[in-house]
Amino acid sequence: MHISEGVLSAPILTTGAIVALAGVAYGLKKIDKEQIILCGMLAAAFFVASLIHVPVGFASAHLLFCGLLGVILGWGAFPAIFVALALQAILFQYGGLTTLGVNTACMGSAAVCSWYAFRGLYKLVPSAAGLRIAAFLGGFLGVLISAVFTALVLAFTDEGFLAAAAVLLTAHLPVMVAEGVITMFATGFIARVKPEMLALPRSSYHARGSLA
Amino acid sequence: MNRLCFSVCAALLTAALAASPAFAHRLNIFAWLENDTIMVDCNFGAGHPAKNADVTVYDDTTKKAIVTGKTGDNGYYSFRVPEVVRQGHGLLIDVNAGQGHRGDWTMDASELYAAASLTAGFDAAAIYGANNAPSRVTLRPASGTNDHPDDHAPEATPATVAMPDTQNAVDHADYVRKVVREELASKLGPIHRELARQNSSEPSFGEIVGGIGWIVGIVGIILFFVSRRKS
Repeated sequence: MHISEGVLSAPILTTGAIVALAGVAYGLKKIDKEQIILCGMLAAAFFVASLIHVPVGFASAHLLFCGLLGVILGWGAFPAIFVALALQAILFQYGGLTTLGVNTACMGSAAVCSWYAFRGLYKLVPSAAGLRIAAFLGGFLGVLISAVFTALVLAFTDEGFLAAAAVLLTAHLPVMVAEGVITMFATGFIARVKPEMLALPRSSYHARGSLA
Repeated sequence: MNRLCFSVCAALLTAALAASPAFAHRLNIFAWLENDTIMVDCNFGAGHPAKNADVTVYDDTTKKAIVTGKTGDNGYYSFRVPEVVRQGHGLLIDVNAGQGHRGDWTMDASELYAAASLTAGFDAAAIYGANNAPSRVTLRPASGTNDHPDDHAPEATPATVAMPDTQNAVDHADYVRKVVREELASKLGPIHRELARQNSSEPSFGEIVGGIGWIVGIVGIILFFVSRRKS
């Protein structure tokens, strides 16, 4: 879901860059000192994830990890994704420097959306099982929403929204499931080992034992 | 339970790592000349052709679209060298594989010289400038003077033209040129394909480690400033 150079028009690129800038600025404001290292670790995971391809059935696409970053970092996912995408563009020529803003906006917003979905669902079902389901959904939605956002951006090109969305969603279906599972295990593990790392409301994990 | 989670996670990651890439993010394009045909290879990494991608060929000087088409199942697209090349125009090959995957490849007029000169009336001076036009090897009858092609000075030309079977010799030269070009094309084809394959290599281990190093460095710089502000 890295849009290359020369596909999008200048207004779209500018809009994307503004959204990305706002997201990164707000994300940086939201990160506290303890989260910085975690943010860097997850940025590294996101950076490498694109090299891992999920080969299930008819289609195969690479991992994204927007959902994972969103669920664990919240708004902090925005700067992490920005740094990782910038390095992917420079080192791997994935995407491009002019489209960096649009790509960051698509995947960063998807991460933040999946964070709100995760947090909302966990508030409804504040149990160990609820956490797992919410985390799975967060990982799943991260890919789904970024596919929809990417298709929305491509709606302004010759390709059109529906055609792009159909291809992107089918190709990423296995990735959604894989990332849901990965996010579920990763979040479940963190909740057991170091629950304060998850940016959850304090009351939700007061009983540490109940999450085990 | 803890161990189980980890083993499942590890297994999943290993499975994913072992798999080959397919739906990648960078569209690789490589185009080359084979005889009077231009071959375009479009792929997402080695062994993963970009099927059914839109190919548009532009005249690099006038920016007008000349040829349009779609790649086949093998990711190849080929077209005959267009007429505009004879006017010394280069070509810009633009490929759009959908979902935001786009790339282009430029072919210089000089690169297309060989194919363009196949067609009669080609003006080398239009590409290279009047003084720099490469001397074309001209076969002359055995009795001709000063036969070394590199020494083919303009003043030697009238002597050749004066020969009675000049037309024959020119035809013969064109014929030899054509045969050599076809042979070269068949020999160079595999080399071009190999170049195309190398051009589409995946990121190297060094680049991956380098990127992680960058992230570690950025985190370090941020932590340094944060800790200074606190203290």
